[in-house]
Amino acid sequence: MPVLAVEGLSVRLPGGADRPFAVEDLSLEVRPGEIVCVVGESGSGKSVTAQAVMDLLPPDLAVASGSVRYSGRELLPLPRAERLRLNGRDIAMVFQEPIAALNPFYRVGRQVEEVFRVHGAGDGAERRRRVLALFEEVRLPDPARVFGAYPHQLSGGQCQRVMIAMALALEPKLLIADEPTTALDVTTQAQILSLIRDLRARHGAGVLFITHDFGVVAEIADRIVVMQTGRTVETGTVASVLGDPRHPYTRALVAAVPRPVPRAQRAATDARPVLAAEGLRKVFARRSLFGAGRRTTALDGVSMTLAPGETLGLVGESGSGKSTLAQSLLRLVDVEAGAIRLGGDEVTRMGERRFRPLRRRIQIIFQDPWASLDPRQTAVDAIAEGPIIHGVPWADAIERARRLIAQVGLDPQAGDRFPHQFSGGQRQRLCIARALAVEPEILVADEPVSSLDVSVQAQILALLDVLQRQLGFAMLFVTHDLRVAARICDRVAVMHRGKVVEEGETAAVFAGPRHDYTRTLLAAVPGRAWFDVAGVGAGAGAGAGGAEGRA
Amino acid sequence: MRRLFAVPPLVMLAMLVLAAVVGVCLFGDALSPHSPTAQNLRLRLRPPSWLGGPEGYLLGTDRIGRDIVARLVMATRISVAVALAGTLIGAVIGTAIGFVAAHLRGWAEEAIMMLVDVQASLPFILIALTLLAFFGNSITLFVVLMGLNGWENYARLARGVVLSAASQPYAKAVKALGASPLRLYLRHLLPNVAGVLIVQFTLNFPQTILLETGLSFLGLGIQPPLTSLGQLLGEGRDFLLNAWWIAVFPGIVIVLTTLSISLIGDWLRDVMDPTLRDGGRS
Repeated sequence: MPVLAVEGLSVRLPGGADRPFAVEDLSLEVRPGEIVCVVGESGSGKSVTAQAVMDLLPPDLAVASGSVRYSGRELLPLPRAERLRLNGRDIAMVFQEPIAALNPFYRVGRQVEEVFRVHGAGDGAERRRRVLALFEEVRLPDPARVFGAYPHQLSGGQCQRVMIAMALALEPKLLIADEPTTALDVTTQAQILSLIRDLRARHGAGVLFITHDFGVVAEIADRIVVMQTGRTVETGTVASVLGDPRHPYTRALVAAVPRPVPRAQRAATDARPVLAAEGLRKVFARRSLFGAGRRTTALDGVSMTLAPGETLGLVGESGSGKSTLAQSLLRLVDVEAGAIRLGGDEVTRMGERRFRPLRRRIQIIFQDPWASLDPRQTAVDAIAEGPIIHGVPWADAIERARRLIAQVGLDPQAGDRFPHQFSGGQRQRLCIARALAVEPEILVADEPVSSLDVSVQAQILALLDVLQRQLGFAMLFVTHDLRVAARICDRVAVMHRGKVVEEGETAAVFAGPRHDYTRTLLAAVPGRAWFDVAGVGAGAGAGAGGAEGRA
Repeated sequence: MRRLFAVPPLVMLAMLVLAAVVGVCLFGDALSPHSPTAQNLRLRLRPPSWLGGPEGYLLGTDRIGRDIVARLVMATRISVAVALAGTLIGAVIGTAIGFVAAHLRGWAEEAIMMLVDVQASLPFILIALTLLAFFGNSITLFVVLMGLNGWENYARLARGVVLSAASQPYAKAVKALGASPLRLYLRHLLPNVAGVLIVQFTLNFPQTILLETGLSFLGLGIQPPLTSLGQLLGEGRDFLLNAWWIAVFPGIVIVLTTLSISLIGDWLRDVMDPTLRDGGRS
């Protein structure tokens, strides 16, 4: 008998939403010891599904019809108190943001112990012993120390292990994991995925695993449910769905997943670099009125060069210093030591007033397209602002802005709208247009596709590629995702703890990584085995769903 | 947009009261046939006309026979004008100082914020009393004093919101485009943080009115022949037992005005706070 059987589940959205149901007529089964992945892009209803099973739906959503059975027992008509008792004991959940899911005020050991206390298991010493055993099982280093630690003293990966330990505390038969590795670094993600696989084997629990990442799916799933705007479009085993997707949407999604297969390097130029940095050092010190605080070395003697028209990938995990490097090159962060040369100009310690005219030559786009545009400025005004600052007459600047809006694949008529009237992918296009409006020689892209859905991601990468060929700017592409770096970069530099540990042509680094850390990173790319089997070449993903771009 | 019109009934009432106060300030002369300074010694301390007082004196007369309605209109005008000017001065100065602190960072910011803490820890009414006693009373000094009351709130608030707004990617992007700090602050950050400051303004305004009435009540504020709500209150104090209408009506105006503005301010804060608005779900 399946541990979870969902049949014909529909969840109604409040009036005024873009569709009547968040989830419509969804059916799925999770059998003991099986990992079922629910895959979909944002807004597909995959999280709502998990919330409906856990009775955690937001107040304005309601189950309209269908049934949810746990080990044969119908859950939906049960009173709230009874479902609460089932949650935690029989059904457990792991969330995306482990640090947010733990109470910062209490030691983590106590928080896990509380699960036993609430469900009345054992005395103090017994509970502590069981918590330590759990910490051991989820491979937390030094369980006794972790027991007494506060959440902020642990890393994201350790917090997620604590959350998993908490979920496993009462030996649930069903584990629901809602994007449990999305907020984690790729190497940590690989460890957590292998942990979940192991635990499933050892405890025989069924796992409902929600994710947007096909690489993760390939790593962990037994069966797959692909969702699109609340409906199931395809279900099947991993081999059948990933190997031979039937539905056009699944096919587009699979094709849009960036492959960790490097693109061919374009002819190297011997021209003088447009940008060079040497021995950059940056230490963040948290000072307060009452003395010195913590010091973090973000950049520890970093050097790099960027040739005209090439794309250099800056790869690393969170905290490696890659974003600090990107921002210091634009003088948005001031370095303590080292030299930055922009073309022929040494700009490291140039006064802001003198540097301002040179800013035209280097532009940046950010990760979060929602926060990257002034909410009170129309698209055209935002794009025209740069040229106006640098002395282009107003009418010409507006004209240029309208042309750029078309060039980045948006409807020129949409220029008079405000940022909140655009989707995430469209906003990122606007940010690209704003950066290119001043005709820069260098574009710094700081994780530009990390918060976008995979199909939109593919479109933005393709757009950057096309624009670079048309306009010839050099690009510094910062990313944590090796698959993305492979698709777009001529060369990559791998950063680790404030240092560049390896640098070289993308193909060479992927084929023969010299540094241990690079090898670890490459091995951790989710879905690596699947990509190797599928053997799809570079650039295959460019065609996924062209509908998003048009306003 | 729908939310804008979903005004709670209490706030609607407060808005009506406020509209009435503004109406009185603008067109109050029509409410009474008498001049606020016209004395009629034969009609001293008469009750409101609807309580058996003389015809044409709707709210009665004061100790030298002046019409309370006319006095009230004049007092409301002056109190509101002084409080408005004072609050505006405080808002502009405080906001500017907050922006400067956020821009300079480092020791200059520490120094400014120290000043803010000092100001916040001093009872302002004592400062005001001292300054008025030393420099004598003039309406200019009085308005400036009103402006000094509460600037520290704007400074603290403006610094906080500017620091958080300036760390937003859009502020960095604008800086990277080559915009001058002035352009960044005035064209991008100010409009985006204005909501918070407007709310602070509505919360500060009643305090300023109360400060003005307090000082005038003590005789250190608005001087005769001009009058203000606080001064009317002070005049009426001696006659509370036998001519209550002199003090009670200005008191009602003060309470209604400040309460209304506070209510509207609270409501505005809820409306403009994005965390209280229902967001999207993923």
